Amino acid sequence: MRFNIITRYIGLVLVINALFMLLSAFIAVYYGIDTGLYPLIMSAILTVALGCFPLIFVDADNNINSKEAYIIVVGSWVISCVVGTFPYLLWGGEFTVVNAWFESVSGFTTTGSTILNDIEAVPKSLLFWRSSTHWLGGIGVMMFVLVAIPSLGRVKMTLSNIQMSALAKDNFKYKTQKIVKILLFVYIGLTFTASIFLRIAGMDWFDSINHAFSTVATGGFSTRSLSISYFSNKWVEIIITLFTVIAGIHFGVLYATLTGKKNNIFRSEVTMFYIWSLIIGGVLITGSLWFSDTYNSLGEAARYAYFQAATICTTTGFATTDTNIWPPFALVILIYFSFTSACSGSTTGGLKADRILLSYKSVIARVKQLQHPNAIIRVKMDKTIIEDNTLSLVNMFIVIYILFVLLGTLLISISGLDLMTSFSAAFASMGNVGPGFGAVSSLSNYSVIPDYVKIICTLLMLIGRLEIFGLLLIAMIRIWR
Amino acid sequence: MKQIKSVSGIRNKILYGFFVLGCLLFFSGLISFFELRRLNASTRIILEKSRQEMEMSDKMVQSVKLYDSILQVIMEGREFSDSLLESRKNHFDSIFTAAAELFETNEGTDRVIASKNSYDIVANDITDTVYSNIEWIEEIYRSSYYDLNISIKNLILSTNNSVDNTARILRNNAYRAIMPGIITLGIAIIIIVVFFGLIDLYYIKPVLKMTRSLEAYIKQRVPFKPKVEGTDEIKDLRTYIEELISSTKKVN
Repeated sequence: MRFNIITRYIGLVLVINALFMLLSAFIAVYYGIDTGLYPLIMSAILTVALGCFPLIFVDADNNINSKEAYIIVVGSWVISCVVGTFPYLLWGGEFTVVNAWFESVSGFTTTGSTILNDIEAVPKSLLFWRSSTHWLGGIGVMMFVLVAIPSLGRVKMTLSNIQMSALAKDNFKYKTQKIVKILLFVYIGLTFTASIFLRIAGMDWFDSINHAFSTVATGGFSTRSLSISYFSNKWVEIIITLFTVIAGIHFGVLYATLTGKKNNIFRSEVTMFYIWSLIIGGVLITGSLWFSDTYNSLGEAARYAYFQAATICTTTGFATTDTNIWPPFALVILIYFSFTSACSGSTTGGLKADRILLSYKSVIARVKQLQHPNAIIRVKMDKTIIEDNTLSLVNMFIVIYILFVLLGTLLISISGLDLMTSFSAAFASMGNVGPGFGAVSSLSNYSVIPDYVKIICTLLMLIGRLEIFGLLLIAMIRIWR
Repeated sequence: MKQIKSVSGIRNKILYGFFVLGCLLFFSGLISFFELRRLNASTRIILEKSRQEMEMSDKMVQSVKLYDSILQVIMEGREFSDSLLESRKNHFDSIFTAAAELFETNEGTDRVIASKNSYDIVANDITDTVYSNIEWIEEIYRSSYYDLNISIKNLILSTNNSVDNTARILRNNAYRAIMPGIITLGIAIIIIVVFFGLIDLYYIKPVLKMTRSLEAYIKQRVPFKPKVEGTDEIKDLRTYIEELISSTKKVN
């Protein structure tokens, strides 16, 4: 394993981070030199110094093995989170060391949980950096590196294979080089379109760009303490709902739909499952809110129901209402959405709808097998037979995921927080959703929880974002031959 | 886009490495110097203000005592000097005027001003008409006097509390002032470790390998084939040694 090659690629990632810090510093100048200028410039200089160093010494290498690739991807995430703390630490305010780490990890993993009590007190440049961490983390910082470096054959293939989840590689019926370009094309295109629409809906440019970053990355950081409820604008809510739902679809499928290819969203079983789940879930939540008289009218109930359902399912986590006042039935559906989430190959976290659907199908197949012991029952997805090995991995992933959520709940509950807060903080962190319930509900923040709980949440965020096995492989690297 | 190539030449690479390290350490020191200087300046201003407030509080107490002493003389019906009364009253008024300008407007300061005004009214009654009414002295004058003293003491207490809060703020500011230095030093340490690792990998190990390989060739005629990382002068050295060996073989 060659650490020099690993440091080179991580160095490239740091340079990308530094570019966005400089862009945020430009925002500070644009808005009349706010207090974020100096921390951002300094952070950019330090990050560039750290990132350029290996680039000077280490030549590019066309061959990296999968072990090195895993370390590059995981290392990029972790190191990005570390350098992401610099602007916060240098600015000060509510950012202690733990708080800065929490905010940075929450940003890059597109969780969207915040420790800030007063978001409006933070300078615009720093808020832009905050949103940028979402945008960089949404697609994976590594993807920006992959498009920047020229064709390196195996390098790109190996790195992009690890950056995307195993299920995401399906539906990408293209060569690796094109996959990276498709991802970025769709990602940047969606962000650009969302910004324009939000501007038209009434937000100013700063808010629209920041919320577009956060929406398409399915992050959840807002420039307002009250999140989207601050704007009280149904068009803004509709646009965000629409774009988060789109961002929850596999980008290859989106690209195929846009270019008129066969494997479009209407032919994708997973996408249909995801969309229908949202529609039915929205109806159930609306009904629950309407019958419990939580809101005055059916229209109002539907408006809040669909917005929250969409943002929770896509693990975005924006809020237009305090879900603590919702009836338990509606909350359970939201918890279900937090676990199932959207499609793989998108920017969302969570278990992914693909795994849930495969799991359902494998259960049904198993029941059929028991009924007809001599029959050969196969699980199919989009008319493709799914190997037993893949099914086993999916079911194992779901079990390990739930175990981590339970372990997280246990560790958080030691602090004395109530069960609802502990459990929701654990699953919201693991699924990169952001808001939970109880003390960390949709319009609250994570400032009330003790520092060690914040650290646990950040670990869960990273484990969830790296889809568990990424971090576990690194933890067990010594036995990897 | 062109592939990002590493800087060529051993000298340039090592020079760059030390340059970055030097800049980081210099940067760290410079930032710490400016931040601590700024902290020092703001601390001095805060401490100076605190000292002035304490001094003023002391002067207020003294001026009240002095004014009270001459008023006691009047109330006891003894002879007194008009000029002394006037000078003590002027002193009393000037101290409280200065205090009103020095202290921040808050509940404590307002209370002191209100008590002073009440005391002034009572004191003027004494000077205008001489009272030997013990009841009036105890109920009206004494209560006004004690009220003024208590309000000054409360102001001193609240000043002490605000110094305590200010000290806490200064402690947080100090932490923030040294944070840039800490971060920069941390990065410098990481770069030192990485720098050492890279120098070891690209220069020290290749030289050692070439030395051992040459030694093995001279002593045991083992072919000279050390594995060398990098594309700069070290690789050139290896190539030239190989060529030298092969040309020596041809001659022999």
